[in-house]
Amino acid sequence: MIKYIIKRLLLIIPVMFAVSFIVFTVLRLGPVDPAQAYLLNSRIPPTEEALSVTRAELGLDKPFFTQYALWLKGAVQLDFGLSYMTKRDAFGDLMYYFPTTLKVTFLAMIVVIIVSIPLGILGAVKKDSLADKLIKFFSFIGVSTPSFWFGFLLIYVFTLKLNILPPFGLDGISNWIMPILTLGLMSSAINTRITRTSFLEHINNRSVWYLKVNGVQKSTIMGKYVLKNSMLPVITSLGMHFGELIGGAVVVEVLFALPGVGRYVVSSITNHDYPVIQCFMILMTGVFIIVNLIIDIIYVYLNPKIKYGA
Amino acid sequence: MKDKGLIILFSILALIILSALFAPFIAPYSPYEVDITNKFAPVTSSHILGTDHLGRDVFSRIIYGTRMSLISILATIFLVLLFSLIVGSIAGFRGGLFDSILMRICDVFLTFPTFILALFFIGVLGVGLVNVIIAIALTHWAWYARIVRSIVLETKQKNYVTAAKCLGSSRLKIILKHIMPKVLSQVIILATLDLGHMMLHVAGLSFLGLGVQAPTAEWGVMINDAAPYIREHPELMLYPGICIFITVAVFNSIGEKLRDIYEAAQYSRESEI
Repeated sequence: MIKYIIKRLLLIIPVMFAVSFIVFTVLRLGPVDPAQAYLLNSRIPPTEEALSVTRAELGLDKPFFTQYALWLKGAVQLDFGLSYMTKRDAFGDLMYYFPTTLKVTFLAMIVVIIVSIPLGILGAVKKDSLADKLIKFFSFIGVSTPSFWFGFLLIYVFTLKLNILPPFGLDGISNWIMPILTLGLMSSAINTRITRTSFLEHINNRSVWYLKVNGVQKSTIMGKYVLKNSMLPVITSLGMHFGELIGGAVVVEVLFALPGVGRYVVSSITNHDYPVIQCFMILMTGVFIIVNLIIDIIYVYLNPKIKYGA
Repeated sequence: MKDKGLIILFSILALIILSALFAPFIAPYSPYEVDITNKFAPVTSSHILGTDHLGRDVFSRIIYGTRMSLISILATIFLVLLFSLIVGSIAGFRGGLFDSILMRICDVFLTFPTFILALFFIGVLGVGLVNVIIAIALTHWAWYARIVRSIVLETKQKNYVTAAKCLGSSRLKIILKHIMPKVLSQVIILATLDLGHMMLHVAGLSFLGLGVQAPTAEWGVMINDAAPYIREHPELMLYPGICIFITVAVFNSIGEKLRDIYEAAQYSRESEI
């Protein structure tokens, strides 16, 4: 098992290498000249002279691979260059906002797990009952609602009408409730369905019937066989949900004015602030890859059918 | 088609498509006609849903908004299917080194979180609806390419394909006549299931101000426009949101129904054999 984990950890290095190369190359392939973007962000008129000075300053006159090598050398030491907009260290800027984004994402992930798995199991166990129908209705609503609109509805009901939750700011726990509900709705709905379907599949499996015939206690069957087996696809899907959540966090942060990367990144996108965009991509993808690795390890741990040596 | 639910769903879809096609005939006003003196007009017979903060007729804007939503989602899915069918079928049919390279490219696209990758492409291409469509298509095609490849690989070994080969059918004919129908039937069902999800991505990007720009009559933009007036006029936000919800829900439900029908047909065919 440890060997497997080390192997997977080492594999992250070439993957991140590829990610960094693609991020760097694709940005350069884009229609916007970084030197021009730099000047526009500095409010300097982009004359020919200013452009050539900036190109030399940013190292854009060097051959492409030299540029990449230089950037990568800095990136490995967490130096992603200065933001064109703020003229501050891009990595430092992002790290100021990043903890809030991670917190929102992980809290939403926890809510997704706490809500969807029991609901999915309940729906499967009490199939076609009123509870099951309500759960199905909830997941139907959840997958079709635009999250930012749902957030506005929450603000309207809980802030403007009932006046029990603050609309923005980060003073206490109550500030986190609406952002996390907004972010978690869609994934909870999807995951409820996945759990329900998977649980149903395993309840109706022949092996369960065989265990019943052999007089194994129902609670043992449910806990040891059905639950454990039916959780495997759910755990795999959590990796996908994490990707959705960390992306959705950007929207939720803008909506609830949370001090996460959201607003900063949106303005860096509209202003072509390349150092920030590069650093943002590396950070987000890095977190996504690590979380998926952890999920894979849990999966392998729970599923003895997979030989992790191979 | 005996399924009652499916008939209802297709009727709603037809209604949505018709209102997009005939928007100029249905909408009583121009969606851009500003009338400041008549802002926030209540629901009356002349303004069925009232007017917004610039005195524009909300109902007309909703109707025109249908166009934007359908066009953007159809363009996105078209690009996704185009990329994935080409890449997936080449990879599946040619195999070998070609296959490995194309699949590694897909893997790279799947390494990134979808929405984050879409943000990145907009950062590269610039803000605007066309770029949002390209960005969403670029972030979704790889999933489909993989599925297309696996269906091609599976179908390639079927007896009727071997028979066609033996009878001297050309490679192109085999792909188009024997393999593509099978691929399309499955991929289109998947695409229908995904349409709603992609529409929500487009709306989310519009909300961030990266997609459709005001004053365009688009549902996401309308929600944004209504946000500052949420206290006094929450209904302005309610209408476009409900429209997005209904459209997405219809696509999702149709996709699910089609999948169930397809799976049932598949099952009965297998049990016959």
